[in-house]
Amino acid sequence: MYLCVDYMTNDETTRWTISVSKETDISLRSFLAQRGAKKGDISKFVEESVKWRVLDQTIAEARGKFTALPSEELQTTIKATIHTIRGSA
Amino acid sequence: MRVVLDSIVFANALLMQDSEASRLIRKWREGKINLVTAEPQLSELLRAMRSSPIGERLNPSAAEQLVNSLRGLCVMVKKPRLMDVLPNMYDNYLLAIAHGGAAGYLVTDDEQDLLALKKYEGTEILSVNDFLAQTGG
Repeated sequence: MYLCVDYMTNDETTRWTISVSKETDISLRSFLAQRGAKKGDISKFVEESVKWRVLDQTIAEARGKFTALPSEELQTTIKATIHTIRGSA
Repeated sequence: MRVVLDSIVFANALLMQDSEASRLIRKWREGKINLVTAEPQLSELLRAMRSSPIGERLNPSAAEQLVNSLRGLCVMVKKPRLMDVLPNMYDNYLLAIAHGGAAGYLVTDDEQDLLALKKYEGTEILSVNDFLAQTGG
């Protein structure tokens, strides 16, 4: 099933053509229909979902780099780093 | 509910897995709060994440990706109006973001000035723990 994510309304947007399962298509369309979806709402939903997914994964990866540090040490490091930046600004 | 985070609280929330501050990200993720920021604060966060010793663990592209993700999801205040309320310019900047973004809360760990102010115009100034307690965890 092709889901055309169509939100070419100005120069800041790009058209995506993506494939999803029929099940996902029906699920999303019924979800949005129950909420009075309008034209373009699939695009908004997909874009917002992508943004949050990228954030979730980016945060998880970033946190993974600091798990070996005791939390108090990391907290102190963050505070000191920001104070240093402000001092050199 | 719009909320401004002090940059230190923001960085703690982003980088510390099980901190109290990380619960702010969860609340944001659940749609219970909207985080409000401005470009200079994102620049400050990016510089902090690229600086030693944080930058030694987090590669520059990961730091940039993280900040770009925030830009796409936070309420961005364009050109916050500069204020002269407290002696520290960074504190004033946070107040300006809160004012410009109509934030109900400013969450900080700065006991000396910001927390002592308690409230500025429509913005309540609270510690992480007090904010979580007041807004149902």
